[in-house]
Amino acid sequence: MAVELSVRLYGTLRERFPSYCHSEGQRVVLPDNATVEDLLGALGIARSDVLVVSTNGRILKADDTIRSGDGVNIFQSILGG
Amino acid sequence: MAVKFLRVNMTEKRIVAEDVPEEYRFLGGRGLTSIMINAEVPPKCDPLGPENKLIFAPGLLSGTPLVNTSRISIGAKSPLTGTIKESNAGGTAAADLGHLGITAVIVEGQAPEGELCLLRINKQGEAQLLAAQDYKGMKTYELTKNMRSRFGEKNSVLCIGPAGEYQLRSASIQTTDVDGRPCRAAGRGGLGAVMGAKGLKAFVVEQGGKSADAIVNPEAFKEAARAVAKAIKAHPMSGSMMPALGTAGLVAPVNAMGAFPSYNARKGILDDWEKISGEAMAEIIQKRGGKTAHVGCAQCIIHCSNEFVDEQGKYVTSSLEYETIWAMGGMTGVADLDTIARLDFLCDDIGVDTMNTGVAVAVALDSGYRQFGDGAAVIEMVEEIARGTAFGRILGNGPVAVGKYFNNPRVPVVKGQSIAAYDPRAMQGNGVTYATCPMGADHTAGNVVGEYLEQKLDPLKAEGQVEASRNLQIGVAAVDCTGMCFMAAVALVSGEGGEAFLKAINAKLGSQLGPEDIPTLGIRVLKAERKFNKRAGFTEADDRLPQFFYQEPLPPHNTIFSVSDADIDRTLAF
Repeated sequence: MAVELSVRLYGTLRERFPSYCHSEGQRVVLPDNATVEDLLGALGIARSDVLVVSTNGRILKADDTIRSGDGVNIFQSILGG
Repeated sequence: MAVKFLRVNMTEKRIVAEDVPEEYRFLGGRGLTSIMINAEVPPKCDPLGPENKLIFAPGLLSGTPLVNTSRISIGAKSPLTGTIKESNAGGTAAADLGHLGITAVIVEGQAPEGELCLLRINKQGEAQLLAAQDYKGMKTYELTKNMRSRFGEKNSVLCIGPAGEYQLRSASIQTTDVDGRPCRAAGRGGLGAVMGAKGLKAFVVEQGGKSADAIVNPEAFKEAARAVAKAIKAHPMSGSMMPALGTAGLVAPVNAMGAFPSYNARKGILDDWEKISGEAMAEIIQKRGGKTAHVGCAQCIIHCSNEFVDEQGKYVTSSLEYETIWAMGGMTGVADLDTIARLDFLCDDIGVDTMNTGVAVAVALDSGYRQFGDGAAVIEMVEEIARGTAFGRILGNGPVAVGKYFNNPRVPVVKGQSIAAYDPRAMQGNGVTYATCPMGADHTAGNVVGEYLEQKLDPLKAEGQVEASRNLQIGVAAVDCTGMCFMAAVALVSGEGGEAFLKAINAKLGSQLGPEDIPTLGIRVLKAERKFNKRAGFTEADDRLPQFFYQEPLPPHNTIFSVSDADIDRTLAF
């Protein structure tokens, strides 16, 4: 069974997806038991960009599994302001 | 040696230049203001009396060609917290003072009640106190316009608005950006009230001074400066995020973590936060023809500033920042950037801290004075500060004054100063910093948000928070001595950037400092600050958050602040 996600992008990430529409998010289909790392791979964005993936108010680790229906947000790290 | 102190005595209207004493060598910015206040200001003095001193100190590197070194530190005993205080601002004044070889301007004594003066330093370094009665009651935008028309456009202005003249505890000192607008603030701690109490309406410094303190090793400095600039450009935050969104880029991740104190810290996520995110702000500004990636400070290569404009493309304010968006939007429940931008302008113009004022408004709303989300009511409330009405004065004295007036114990402050845009129940380390920072609750002194976003630490658990806060507080106390902007400093804490930054400092001073000397400097500054506070009567019992953070769970995580008092007390126990 595949995992279908609508991913919301923040920071400068939207610039990399010209057809991105924020109200709908970026649609991504991943294999079952896919991890955060798999998600970033599918989107073609490198972790070296200091990316932060969150769902349900929690920051996820690279090997955390993503479930269908999770509201996934991807940010870039900021150290303060 | 060009380096000098200027002592400006407001009682006697006398200005004396003196050489920098040996014990202050290698100090600048916060290190200088704090160590000097600890040495010279009686800790139990009335912050609004003649014994207090208001010190303006550019950073050690301000006025050199090194990029992003335009922070000016302003220090005094705070009328808001009763503690020692340093608040720093960007703009152009630090570089100008650096170009004149001025290490610090120390304002002492007090003008007779009702008398206002302005201090002017020309590019030859000659300082004068001039009568400023004509500018009484003037707001900062009009005042700055007057100063620049009187002395010329190539002048930087530090000034107070009506709030400073009323000596309100949230009064800021506003300073000009590269466009000459008074939109940069040393906002925290009520330093505008100290300036008002001294009778100093404005401090005007001419640009283009040519008597900067010499760089000891110019060639080594040039090479290090190039490497510093390269590191800043290469870092993802300073090189890419900040020019795109500025600090407002934090709205999204902090809400996503459930740590954005909203509705006077009743919730960790603001409904409709997407409407006031950095992404939404940048889109609005660009659509209307305003400016993102704007240059606010002298020698800036990051461009985190912006110019927010209205639907007609007319200037509203600069720069709309994360903390203001939070205080005026999150805490008040006003999810509308046009209203928040207007409030930012009003605060700059009246001369009050946007953070303390937004939180004071939130406490009033939480007490039922008006409804959360009523933007028009919030604007009216803030306008009352300028008019000097009874309620305006209560509001301008900050969240504690408002809480007392309404008998509302839900006042999110530490030592009288409002918390910042990170709820301590969902970012426990920020709570440690709020509790222990010698300045009261603070957003720059030891902000742990990066540790959470980079998954180095669990924000909801007590473990590791004290160490994270301590290390950051030490590092920031050291960086605050240099004039280097925080946005740039993130690229200079380690690796090639860190090495280059240290080389630049050594080349400037002719010193042989190693990496271990940076925390040593930070600890020296923090020790002086804590010593002052102790002598002022503060004890460990003051290093606590308000009760409701320990009792009232914050949605969505429904956690409370759980770092123990014993752990808090070992944070800065050097």
